Amino acid sequence: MSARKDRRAFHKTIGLLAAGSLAVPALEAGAVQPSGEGDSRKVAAGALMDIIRSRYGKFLSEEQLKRVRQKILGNLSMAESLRRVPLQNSNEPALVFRADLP
Amino acid sequence: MAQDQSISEETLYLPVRELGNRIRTRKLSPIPLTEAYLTRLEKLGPKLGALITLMRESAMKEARAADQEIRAGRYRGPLHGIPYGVKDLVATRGVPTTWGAEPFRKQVFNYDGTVVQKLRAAGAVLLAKLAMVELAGGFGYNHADASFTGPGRTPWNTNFWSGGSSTGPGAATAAGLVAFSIGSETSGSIITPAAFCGVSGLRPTYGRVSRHGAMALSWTLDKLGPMCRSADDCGLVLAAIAGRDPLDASTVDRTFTYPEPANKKKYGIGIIRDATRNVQPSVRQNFEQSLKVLGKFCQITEDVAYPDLAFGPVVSTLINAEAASAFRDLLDSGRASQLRAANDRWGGYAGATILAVDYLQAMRVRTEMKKSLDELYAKYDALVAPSRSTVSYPIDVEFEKAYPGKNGGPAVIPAGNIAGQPAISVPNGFGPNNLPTGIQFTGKVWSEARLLAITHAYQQATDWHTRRPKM
Repeated sequence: MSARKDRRAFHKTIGLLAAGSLAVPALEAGAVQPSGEGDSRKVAAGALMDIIRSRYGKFLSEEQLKRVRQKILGNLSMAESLRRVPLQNSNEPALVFRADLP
Repeated sequence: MAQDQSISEETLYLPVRELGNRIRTRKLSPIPLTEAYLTRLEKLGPKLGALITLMRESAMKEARAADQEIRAGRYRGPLHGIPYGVKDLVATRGVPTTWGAEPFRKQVFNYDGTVVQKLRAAGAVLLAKLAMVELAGGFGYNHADASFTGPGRTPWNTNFWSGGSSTGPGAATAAGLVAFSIGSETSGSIITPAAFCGVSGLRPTYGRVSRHGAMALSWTLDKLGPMCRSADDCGLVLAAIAGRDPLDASTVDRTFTYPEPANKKKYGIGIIRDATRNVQPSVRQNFEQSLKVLGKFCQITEDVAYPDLAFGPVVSTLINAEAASAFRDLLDSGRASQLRAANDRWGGYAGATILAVDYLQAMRVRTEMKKSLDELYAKYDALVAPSRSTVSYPIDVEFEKAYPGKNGGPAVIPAGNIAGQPAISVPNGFGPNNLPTGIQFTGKVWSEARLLAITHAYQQATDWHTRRPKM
């Protein structure tokens, strides 16, 4: 695929996702999720919350843990939206490892 | 103190270029100038929540050394003898560097950050470590009271916030407590306080200025930049702090010199489509008035479509994940509970669960976003939009409740930070409660000289940057 065609496809897809990303604050506010994707997100959030409780539970109140869970749901929603962006194997992350570290 | 009395408030508000001219021609000595700024900082800094550590002794020593050198004919340049303040996330040898956060209140480094070293080499006089939102706001604060020094207050109306996370640099510069300051931006932390305090704030291209010695919030987004009372001053300061630093691998070997720009060229400016969508009426009016001024010396293209991409999710993913790593010791120790803002006490933990593949996905999408923005910006000298959709927020109100629905147009600030682009906010009027508004100019990477030339020309045609708050 040419770079130009790639870019058009990228715009088309991620443009739609940008509109979808407006839903993130509602998610964080604990809005009801659509079934399917939302259920999967809740399962993932539950697993990640197990890590939070295991590592940091002693530092956080139940109310704070509830807020952490809401934020994790928001993070998962953002990750899902970005995962739908079409990328080729050759699309590198904006990271460069340098052999000549200072 | 006798010398202090000879320095008027008007002198303290002079542009850096003019102060430098007076110091160079020995009409003004750095010694009383420094003393006067120190006195003003001590008196007004705490009231504005702008001051963390006053460096009186070392500042006077530096001022005396500058005075002596200049008398001996060894003038270093336009910053020689000019007093300034630095956001308290840049390391200074032997002086606390608190990052605005209670858990780091007693932290002391044994070296100076590169920016401080460069400004010292230019002869500038470091007056103080200035206040900031704790940890530069990386844990999700939503209230002005998010630093152990309390809320930063804009000197235009102290019931309102000075903006974050460079709260102290914004307020201190606007109130004439320093001749200029150094702030930092990860996503909005220079542009926002510049707008809310009515000063000129320049976010340099990523990699233009070394961050060695600066607190890391997000290694791939953090920038340091000047906050001044004029665009011209931003140019002078940037010229002193820019350049490759082997201690910061993000920096590049690109020369930046700054002569005062001549207003000869007709610049190509694009107005971002929907830039005034969901903004306060005064923000819209001031922006439209600014466009009329710009029209006198710029070729204006209206209604420039801005890429409608998921900038917010990318920048949030990067900051949340990198901050959780940068502050992992803090999170693991439980000392985040000592942070001031309630949201900051738990806000960092969720970032610790972002999967590596999701972080890398955001970084891969970022590359494509950057290409799109680079293509757009190649057509213009600058794109313009209001710096913020509203004036500053009340001190005692959560941000999202301050101006419901006024969340602005395209996400220019996160987009520019994702792409590593430079931007400058300059004041362009006032809105409700005597609070300033700003206009931001964004450009392609490494185009700071052009942005400075345009904004300098704008400030030659307006006087918003010369207004002074009543203190």
